[in-house]
Amino acid sequence: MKNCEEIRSKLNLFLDKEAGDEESSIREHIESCESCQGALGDLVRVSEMIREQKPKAPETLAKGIRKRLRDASRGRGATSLRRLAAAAVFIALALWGLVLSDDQAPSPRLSDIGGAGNLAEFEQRVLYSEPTTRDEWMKVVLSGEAPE
Amino acid sequence: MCIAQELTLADSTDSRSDEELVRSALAGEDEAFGLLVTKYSPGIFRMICLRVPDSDACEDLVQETFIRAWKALPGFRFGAKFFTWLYRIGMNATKEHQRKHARRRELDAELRLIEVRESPGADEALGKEEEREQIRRALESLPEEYRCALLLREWEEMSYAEISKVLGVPAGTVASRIARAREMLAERMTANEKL
Repeated sequence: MKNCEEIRSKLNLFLDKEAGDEESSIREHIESCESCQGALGDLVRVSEMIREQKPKAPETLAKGIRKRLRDASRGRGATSLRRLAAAAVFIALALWGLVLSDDQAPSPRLSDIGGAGNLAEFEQRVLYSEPTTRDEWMKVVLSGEAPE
Repeated sequence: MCIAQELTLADSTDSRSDEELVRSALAGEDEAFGLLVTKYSPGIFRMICLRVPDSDACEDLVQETFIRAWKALPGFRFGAKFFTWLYRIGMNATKEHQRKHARRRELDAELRLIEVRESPGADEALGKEEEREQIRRALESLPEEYRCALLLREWEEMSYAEISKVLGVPAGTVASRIARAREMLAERMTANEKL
Protein backbone atom coordinates (compact mmCIF):
# COMPACT_ATOMS: atom_id res chain seq x y z
CA MET A 1 0.00 0.00 0.00
CA LYS A 2 1.39 3.41 -1.02
CA ASN A 3 1.48 6.27 1.47
CA CYS A 4 -0.47 9.53 1.10
CA GLU A 5 2.53 11.66 0.13
CA GLU A 6 3.38 9.34 -2.73
CA ILE A 7 -0.25 9.24 -3.87
CA ARG A 8 -0.61 13.05 -3.79
CA SER A 9 2.39 13.43 -6.09
CA LYS A 10 0.60 11.24 -8.63
CA LEU A 11 -2.95 12.55 -8.41
CA ASN A 12 -2.62 14.68 -11.55
CA LEU A 13 -1.40 11.65 -13.49
CA PHE A 14 -4.31 9.62 -12.11
CA LEU A 15 -6.83 12.33 -13.03
CA ASP A 16 -5.44 12.56 -16.56
CA LYS A 17 -5.35 8.75 -16.97
CA GLU A 18 -1.59 8.88 -17.34
CA ALA A 19 -0.64 6.79 -14.28
CA GLY A 20 -0.10 3.63 -16.34
CA ASP A 21 0.53 0.48 -14.28
CA GLU A 22 0.09 2.38 -11.01
CA GLU A 23 -3.51 3.35 -11.71
CA SER A 24 -5.09 0.44 -9.82
CA SER A 25 -2.91 0.85 -6.70
CA ILE A 26 -3.62 4.61 -6.63
CA ARG A 27 -7.36 3.95 -7.03
CA GLU A 28 -7.23 1.40 -4.24
CA HIS A 29 -5.56 3.91 -1.90
CA ILE A 30 -7.99 6.72 -2.76
CA GLU A 31 -11.02 4.51 -2.12
CA SER A 32 -9.83 3.90 1.40
CA CYS A 33 -8.38 7.38 2.23
CA GLU A 34 -10.73 10.32 2.86
CA SER A 35 -7.91 12.85 2.85
CA CYS A 36 -6.67 11.79 -0.61
CA GLN A 37 -10.29 11.68 -1.84
CA GLY A 38 -10.55 15.36 -0.80
CA ALA A 39 -7.32 16.26 -2.61
CA LEU A 40 -8.53 14.52 -5.76
CA GLY A 41 -11.88 16.31 -5.44
CA ASP A 42 -10.07 19.69 -5.39
CA LEU A 43 -8.17 18.78 -8.56
CA VAL A 44 -11.37 17.64 -10.29
CA ARG A 45 -13.03 20.98 -9.43
CA VAL A 46 -10.13 22.98 -10.91
CA SER A 47 -10.18 20.80 -14.02
CA GLU A 48 -13.97 21.18 -14.47
CA MET A 49 -13.73 24.92 -13.91
CA ILE A 50 -11.21 25.25 -16.78
CA ARG A 51 -13.16 22.96 -19.09
CA GLU A 52 -16.31 25.04 -18.54
CA GLN A 53 -14.41 28.04 -19.93
CA LYS A 54 -13.53 26.32 -23.17
CA PRO A 55 -14.38 28.73 -25.99
CA LYS A 56 -16.10 27.32 -29.05
CA ALA A 57 -14.24 27.96 -32.29
CA PRO A 58 -16.50 29.14 -35.15
CA GLU A 59 -17.26 26.34 -37.63
CA THR A 60 -16.27 28.54 -40.56
CA LEU A 61 -12.88 29.41 -39.04
CA ALA A 62 -10.63 27.13 -41.13
CA LYS A 63 -12.64 27.92 -44.27
CA GLY A 64 -12.16 31.67 -43.73
CA ILE A 65 -8.41 31.25 -43.23
CA ARG A 66 -8.09 29.08 -46.35
CA LYS A 67 -9.95 31.75 -48.36
CA ARG A 68 -7.64 34.52 -47.10
CA LEU A 69 -4.63 32.34 -47.89
CA ARG A 70 -5.91 31.71 -51.42
CA ASP A 71 -6.35 35.47 -51.92
CA ALA A 72 -2.88 36.13 -50.54
CA SER A 73 -1.46 33.31 -52.68
CA ARG A 74 -2.96 34.87 -55.84
CA GLY A 75 -1.37 38.17 -54.83
CA ARG A 76 1.98 36.44 -54.39
CA GLY A 77 1.62 34.70 -57.77
CA ALA A 78 0.70 37.98 -59.41
CA THR A 79 3.72 39.65 -57.80
CA SER A 80 6.04 36.93 -59.19
CA LEU A 81 4.54 37.39 -62.65
CA ARG A 82 4.97 41.11 -62.37
CA ARG A 83 8.60 40.70 -61.37
CA LEU A 84 9.16 38.45 -64.38
CA ALA A 85 7.36 40.80 -66.76
CA ALA A 86 9.22 43.81 -65.38
CA ALA A 87 12.57 42.06 -65.85
CA ALA A 88 11.68 41.01 -69.41
CA VAL A 89 10.55 44.48 -70.41
CA PHE A 90 13.59 46.05 -68.77
CA ILE A 91 15.99 43.75 -70.62
CA ALA A 92 14.16 44.29 -73.92
CA LEU A 93 14.30 48.05 -73.52
CA ALA A 94 17.95 47.94 -72.49
CA LEU A 95 18.85 45.82 -75.57
CA TRP A 96 16.89 48.18 -77.77
CA GLY A 97 18.93 51.02 -76.34
CA LEU A 98 22.17 49.18 -77.19
CA VAL A 99 21.08 48.49 -80.79
CA LEU A 100 20.18 52.13 -81.30
CA SER A 101 23.51 53.10 -79.81
CA ASP A 102 25.39 50.89 -82.33
CA ASP A 103 23.60 52.70 -85.18
CA GLN A 104 24.68 56.02 -83.74
CA ALA A 105 21.01 56.83 -83.25
CA PRO A 106 20.03 58.94 -80.26
CA SER A 107 20.47 56.42 -77.43
CA PRO A 108 17.95 56.38 -74.62
CA ARG A 109 19.72 56.32 -71.28
CA LEU A 110 18.64 53.62 -68.79
CA SER A 111 17.25 56.35 -66.59
CA ASP A 112 14.89 57.28 -69.46
CA ILE A 113 13.53 53.76 -69.78
CA GLY A 114 10.30 53.70 -67.87
CA GLY A 115 11.72 56.48 -65.74
CA ALA A 116 13.98 53.95 -63.94
CA GLY A 117 17.77 53.86 -63.64
CA ASN A 118 18.14 50.14 -62.96
CA LEU A 119 16.14 46.91 -62.81
CA ALA A 120 15.45 47.20 -59.06
CA GLU A 121 14.06 50.70 -59.45
CA PHE A 122 12.06 49.69 -62.52
CA GLU A 123 10.67 46.72 -60.62
CA GLN A 124 9.70 48.90 -57.67
CA ARG A 125 7.75 51.24 -59.91
CA VAL A 126 5.91 48.34 -61.50
CA LEU A 127 5.42 46.23 -58.39
CA TYR A 128 4.11 48.95 -56.13
CA SER A 129 1.40 50.10 -58.50
CA GLU A 130 -1.96 48.37 -58.68
CA PRO A 131 -3.13 48.38 -62.32
CA THR A 132 -6.57 46.90 -62.82
CA THR A 133 -6.91 46.74 -66.60
CA ARG A 134 -4.61 45.57 -69.35
CA ASP A 135 -4.28 49.14 -70.66
CA GLU A 136 -3.33 50.44 -67.22
CA TRP A 137 -0.85 47.59 -66.83
CA MET A 138 0.80 48.43 -70.19
CA LYS A 139 0.90 52.08 -69.18
CA VAL A 140 2.75 51.19 -66.00
CA VAL A 141 5.18 48.87 -67.78
CA LEU A 142 5.92 51.34 -70.53
CA SER A 143 5.97 54.57 -68.57
CA GLY A 144 6.90 53.47 -65.08
CA GLU A 145 4.07 55.64 -63.77
CA ALA A 146 1.27 54.49 -61.53
CA PRO A 147 -2.18 54.54 -63.14
CA GLU A 148 -4.47 57.41 -62.15
CA MET B 1 -14.08 19.26 -31.74
CA CYS B 2 -10.71 18.94 -30.04
CA ILE B 3 -7.32 18.91 -31.73
CA ALA B 4 -6.89 15.22 -30.92
CA GLN B 5 -10.09 14.44 -32.86
CA GLU B 6 -9.05 16.72 -35.68
CA LEU B 7 -5.70 14.98 -35.80
CA THR B 8 -7.54 11.71 -36.28
CA LEU B 9 -9.69 13.22 -39.03
CA ALA B 10 -6.67 14.67 -40.78
CA ASP B 11 -4.86 11.36 -40.33
CA SER B 12 -7.70 9.47 -42.00
CA THR B 13 -6.94 11.23 -45.28
CA ASP B 14 -3.33 12.25 -44.80
CA SER B 15 -0.84 10.62 -42.44
CA ARG B 16 1.99 13.11 -42.92
CA SER B 17 3.65 14.67 -39.87
CA ASP B 18 3.61 18.43 -39.32
CA GLU B 19 7.18 18.61 -40.58
CA GLU B 20 6.30 16.74 -43.78
CA LEU B 21 3.30 19.00 -44.33
CA VAL B 22 5.53 22.07 -43.92
CA ARG B 23 8.01 20.66 -46.46
CA SER B 24 5.19 19.94 -48.93
CA ALA B 25 3.75 23.44 -48.42
CA LEU B 26 7.19 24.92 -49.09
CA ALA B 27 7.40 22.83 -52.25
CA GLY B 28 4.23 24.56 -53.46
CA GLU B 29 1.49 22.19 -52.29
CA ASP B 30 -1.05 24.67 -50.88
CA GLU B 31 -3.30 21.85 -49.60
CA ALA B 32 -0.56 20.75 -47.19
CA PHE B 33 -0.69 24.11 -45.44
CA GLY B 34 -4.50 23.88 -45.60
CA LEU B 35 -4.29 20.66 -43.57
CA LEU B 36 -2.21 22.45 -40.92
CA VAL B 37 -4.90 25.16 -40.83
CA THR B 38 -7.64 22.59 -40.28
CA LYS B 39 -5.60 20.83 -37.63
CA TYR B 40 -4.53 23.80 -35.53
CA SER B 41 -6.88 26.73 -36.13
CA PRO B 42 -9.46 25.76 -33.45
CA GLY B 43 -6.72 25.32 -30.82
CA ILE B 44 -5.04 28.61 -31.74
CA PHE B 45 -8.49 30.27 -31.64
CA ARG B 46 -9.04 29.10 -28.06
CA MET B 47 -5.55 30.16 -26.95
CA ILE B 48 -6.10 33.65 -28.38
CA CYS B 49 -9.67 33.80 -27.07
CA LEU B 50 -8.29 33.60 -23.56
CA ARG B 51 -6.58 36.95 -24.12
CA VAL B 52 -9.08 38.51 -26.52
CA PRO B 53 -12.60 37.49 -25.50
CA ASP B 54 -14.28 39.33 -28.41
CA SER B 55 -15.00 36.47 -30.81
CA ASP B 56 -14.77 38.53 -34.04
CA ALA B 57 -11.44 40.10 -33.05
CA CYS B 58 -10.21 36.66 -32.03
CA GLU B 59 -11.17 35.17 -35.41
CA ASP B 60 -9.36 38.00 -37.21
CA LEU B 61 -6.26 37.32 -35.11
CA VAL B 62 -6.31 33.61 -35.91
CA GLN B 63 -6.52 34.47 -39.62
CA GLU B 64 -3.68 36.95 -39.18
CA THR B 65 -1.64 34.27 -37.38
CA PHE B 66 -1.93 31.81 -40.27
CA ILE B 67 -1.26 34.48 -42.91
CA ARG B 68 1.89 35.50 -41.02
CA ALA B 69 2.91 31.85 -40.61
CA TRP B 70 2.40 31.20 -44.31
CA LYS B 71 4.50 34.22 -45.25
CA ALA B 72 7.21 33.28 -42.75
CA LEU B 73 7.19 29.57 -43.67
CA PRO B 74 10.40 29.75 -45.75
CA GLY B 75 12.17 30.83 -42.53
CA PHE B 76 10.76 27.92 -40.47
CA ARG B 77 13.58 26.06 -38.73
CA PHE B 78 13.08 22.31 -39.00
CA GLY B 79 13.64 20.75 -35.62
CA ALA B 80 11.38 23.35 -34.00
CA LYS B 81 7.79 22.27 -33.42
CA PHE B 82 5.26 23.71 -35.85
CA PHE B 83 2.59 24.20 -33.20
CA THR B 84 4.98 26.01 -30.83
CA TRP B 85 6.18 28.22 -33.69
CA LEU B 86 2.58 28.95 -34.74
CA TYR B 87 1.55 29.59 -31.14
CA ARG B 88 4.34 32.18 -30.76
CA ILE B 89 3.26 33.94 -33.94
CA GLY B 90 -0.31 33.97 -32.60
CA MET B 91 0.76 35.34 -29.23
CA ASN B 92 2.83 38.10 -30.88
CA ALA B 93 -0.11 39.12 -33.07
CA THR B 94 -2.33 39.07 -29.96
CA LYS B 95 0.06 41.22 -27.93
CA GLU B 96 0.24 43.79 -30.75
CA HIS B 97 -3.57 43.82 -30.87
CA GLN B 98 -3.78 44.23 -27.09
CA ARG B 99 -1.33 47.12 -27.09
CA LYS B 100 -3.43 48.89 -29.71
CA HIS B 101 -6.73 48.20 -27.96
CA ALA B 102 -5.75 48.29 -24.27
CA ARG B 103 -8.56 50.65 -23.25
CA ARG B 104 -11.09 48.84 -25.44
CA ARG B 105 -10.28 45.61 -23.61
CA GLU B 106 -11.17 47.07 -20.22
CA LEU B 107 -14.34 48.61 -21.65
CA ASP B 108 -15.42 45.29 -23.18
CA ALA B 109 -15.07 43.53 -19.82
CA GLU B 110 -17.09 46.29 -18.13
CA LEU B 111 -19.72 46.19 -20.88
CA ARG B 112 -20.15 42.44 -20.52
CA LEU B 113 -20.80 42.88 -16.80
CA ILE B 114 -23.29 45.76 -17.43
CA GLU B 115 -25.18 43.67 -20.02
CA VAL B 116 -25.46 40.80 -17.56
CA ARG B 117 -26.51 43.12 -14.70
CA GLU B 118 -29.43 44.42 -16.76
CA SER B 119 -30.61 41.03 -18.02
CA PRO B 120 -33.39 38.91 -16.41
CA GLY B 121 -32.05 36.57 -13.70
CA ALA B 122 -29.22 39.04 -13.31
CA ASP B 123 -27.92 37.91 -9.92
CA GLU B 124 -27.18 34.35 -10.92
CA ALA B 125 -25.85 35.35 -14.34
CA LEU B 126 -23.70 38.08 -12.80
CA GLY B 127 -22.15 35.58 -10.40
CA LYS B 128 -21.31 33.29 -13.31
CA GLU B 129 -19.94 36.10 -15.47
CA GLU B 130 -17.75 37.35 -12.61
CA GLU B 131 -16.53 33.82 -11.97
CA ARG B 132 -15.77 33.38 -15.67
CA GLU B 133 -13.81 36.64 -15.71
CA GLN B 134 -11.92 35.56 -12.56
CA ILE B 135 -10.95 32.20 -14.05
CA ARG B 136 -9.97 33.83 -17.33
CA ARG B 137 -7.68 36.25 -15.51
CA ALA B 138 -6.23 33.48 -13.34
CA LEU B 139 -5.49 31.39 -16.44
CA GLU B 140 -4.01 34.40 -18.19
CA SER B 141 -1.74 35.08 -15.23
CA LEU B 142 -0.10 31.62 -15.41
CA PRO B 143 3.39 31.41 -16.92
CA GLU B 144 2.97 30.79 -20.64
CA GLU B 145 4.56 27.32 -20.75
CA TYR B 146 2.36 26.10 -17.87
CA ARG B 147 -0.82 27.58 -19.33
CA CYS B 148 -0.11 26.12 -22.74
CA ALA B 149 0.46 22.57 -21.43
CA LEU B 150 -2.62 22.77 -19.19
CA LEU B 151 -4.96 24.06 -21.90
CA LEU B 152 -3.77 21.52 -24.43
CA ARG B 153 -4.76 18.91 -21.85
CA GLU B 154 -8.05 20.45 -20.66
CA TRP B 155 -9.40 22.08 -23.83
CA GLU B 156 -7.81 20.02 -26.58
CA GLU B 157 -7.94 16.75 -24.60
CA MET B 158 -4.47 15.74 -25.72
CA SER B 159 -2.54 12.99 -23.96
CA TYR B 160 0.79 13.88 -22.32
CA ALA B 161 2.58 12.16 -25.22
CA GLU B 162 0.72 14.32 -27.76
CA ILE B 163 1.45 17.51 -25.79
CA SER B 164 5.07 16.47 -25.53
CA LYS B 165 5.13 16.10 -29.32
CA VAL B 166 3.56 19.46 -30.15
CA LEU B 167 5.53 21.41 -27.52
CA GLY B 168 8.78 19.54 -28.09
CA VAL B 169 9.45 18.84 -24.39
CA PRO B 170 9.67 15.48 -22.57
CA ALA B 171 6.44 13.93 -21.26
CA GLY B 172 7.81 14.26 -17.69
CA THR B 173 8.09 18.02 -18.18
CA VAL B 174 4.52 18.10 -19.49
CA ALA B 175 3.34 16.25 -16.37
CA SER B 176 5.11 18.63 -13.99
CA ARG B 177 3.90 21.73 -15.86
CA ILE B 178 0.28 20.55 -15.76
CA ALA B 179 0.48 19.67 -12.06
CA ARG B 180 2.08 23.02 -11.20
CA ALA B 181 -0.42 24.95 -13.35
CA ARG B 182 -3.40 23.36 -11.56
CA GLU B 183 -1.79 24.02 -8.20
CA MET B 184 -1.17 27.71 -9.04
CA LEU B 185 -4.67 28.09 -10.41
CA ALA B 186 -6.23 26.63 -7.27
CA GLU B 187 -4.10 28.98 -5.11
CA ARG B 188 -5.12 32.03 -7.17
CA MET B 189 -8.81 31.15 -7.16
CA THR B 190 -8.75 30.56 -3.39
CA ALA B 191 -7.00 33.92 -2.88
CA ASN B 192 -9.69 35.64 -5.00
CA GLU B 193 -12.49 34.01 -2.98
CA LYS B 194 -10.97 35.37 0.21
CA LEU B 195 -10.91 38.97 -1.14
